[in-house]
Amino acid sequence: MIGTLVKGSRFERLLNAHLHIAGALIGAGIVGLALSSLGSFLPRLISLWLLTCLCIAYGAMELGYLSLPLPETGHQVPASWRYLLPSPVTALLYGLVLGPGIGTRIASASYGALLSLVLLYGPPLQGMLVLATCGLTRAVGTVITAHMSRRNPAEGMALGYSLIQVWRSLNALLVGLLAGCLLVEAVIMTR
Amino acid sequence: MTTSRTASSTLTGSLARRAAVAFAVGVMVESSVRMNVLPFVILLAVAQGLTSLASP
Repeated sequence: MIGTLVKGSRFERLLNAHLHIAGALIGAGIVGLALSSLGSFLPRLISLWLLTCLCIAYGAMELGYLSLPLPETGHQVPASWRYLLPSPVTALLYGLVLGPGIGTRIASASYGALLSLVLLYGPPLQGMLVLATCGLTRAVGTVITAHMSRRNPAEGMALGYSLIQVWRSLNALLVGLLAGCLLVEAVIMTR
Repeated sequence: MTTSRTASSTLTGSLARRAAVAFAVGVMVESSVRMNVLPFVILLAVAQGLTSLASP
């Protein structure tokens, strides 16, 4: 995937980067809007308690205490697109598929908590904003990593892997704090 | 020259890390005081976006 972002002239690289980011933003936004719209039919109190349980469960999974299903396929994006399609189209399609984060492999269990929050907490536009933020960060991070490691793509992957423990700890902390806040809100609403 | 460049880059990295931690703590305190989890959720979304860079 990184190969698509770093090949060609300067103009082509810039175009591919922008299209990849736009694709990720659009794909993540659409999935976020669809998930939030689905979840908005549940009563608020039920959503809050369900969400609290899911945040605790996925937080525990992040720390390695239990195993839960995640909406992932485990497959990578199709490499054949790089050879069959023009590179700007490929960059856009890779962005659309990778932006929502559910088409391939999920790197962190906390993503389950984030998707639950998108599904069950707040109005549809909020869900769209949250998932679009995630897709945008992912795409911008990918573009920066790809350009930083243009001569040696393995270097970029190594950088991502070297920081995984930092992100996992931050994710576990955030999901734990979120679960606490949601629990307080659910208890107040129940009383 | 290389040593001073490395030292400068380490200092910048350290400052960036401290700024990121200070920002995250600020968001957490703000969210807890206001009882609004949206800033938390946005922060989690950003962290998730960065975590996914470690996905093959």
